[in-house]
Amino acid sequence: MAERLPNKKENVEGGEAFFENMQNGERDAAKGVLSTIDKIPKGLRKGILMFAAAGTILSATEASAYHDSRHRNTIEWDRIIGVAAQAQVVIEEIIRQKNPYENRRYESSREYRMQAEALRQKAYQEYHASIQRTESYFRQEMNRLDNTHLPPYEKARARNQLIAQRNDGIGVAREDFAMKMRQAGESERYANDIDRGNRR
Amino acid sequence: MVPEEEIKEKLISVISAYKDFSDAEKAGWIKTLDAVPFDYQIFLLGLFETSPEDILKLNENIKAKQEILESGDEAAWKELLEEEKKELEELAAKGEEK
Repeated sequence: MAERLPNKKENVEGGEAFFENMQNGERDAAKGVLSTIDKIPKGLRKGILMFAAAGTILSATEASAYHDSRHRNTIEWDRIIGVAAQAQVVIEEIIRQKNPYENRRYESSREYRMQAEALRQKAYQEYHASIQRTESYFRQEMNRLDNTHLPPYEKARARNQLIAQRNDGIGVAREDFAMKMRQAGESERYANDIDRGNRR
Repeated sequence: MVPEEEIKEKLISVISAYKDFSDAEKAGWIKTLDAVPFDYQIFLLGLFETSPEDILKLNENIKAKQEILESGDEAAWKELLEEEKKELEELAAKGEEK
């Protein structure tokens, strides 16, 4: 099947961009943790940073494993991203308990962080589902085409059309994913601004 | 040398010298450094230099998560996150007592 895909190189490069996006998502979550870490007691700081660092290292390791094998399930990313987000939730709860004066501000930033997290989860899930649908349709139609008795020229033309359709489908899914990740990044930045006192 | 490069170089050096890591673990840690935010790199360097026993704990935590991800055991994943949350809450409570 590989020789039928003229845009293989382009697909691989697109894949790298995709994982870069995922890692950026993880970095945004990590930055969220770091932006509030100086507001909590020193003894607790190390524990939180350790778990958040574990999430960051884990995400990098998993990205690398995916690059090596290209067979990992992208849904796993939902769980990895959750590690840094988990630390963030704990930080916010502790801050709220310790400093009721800032309660409202953190309630507000938390809403934006949760919104960002939900957008990321949705982006991963929809991207994964869209790629599965496209690939499944592509395989099914390719098999059907292989079993038809068309003249070679007609067959080659139909095959090229299918490949173009598949690449278009993947391109649309990636654009959609990138857009949702940008929206999530915006929410995360907004939350960071609130935590830094630049917004309310 | 810019601070980012200096910190990364120091980290590579302490990871390479860390006696409790296998060669594969050292290579794995070094390979992931580019994806670790700078602030975390500073934090990790501090751990290697001042409390290397925490690096072992961190590595165990990462390995446990990797194993759960391999197995796809959702319940085990939630349980692990709950344990982490509990541990952090205990640390927070200790801070309150002081």
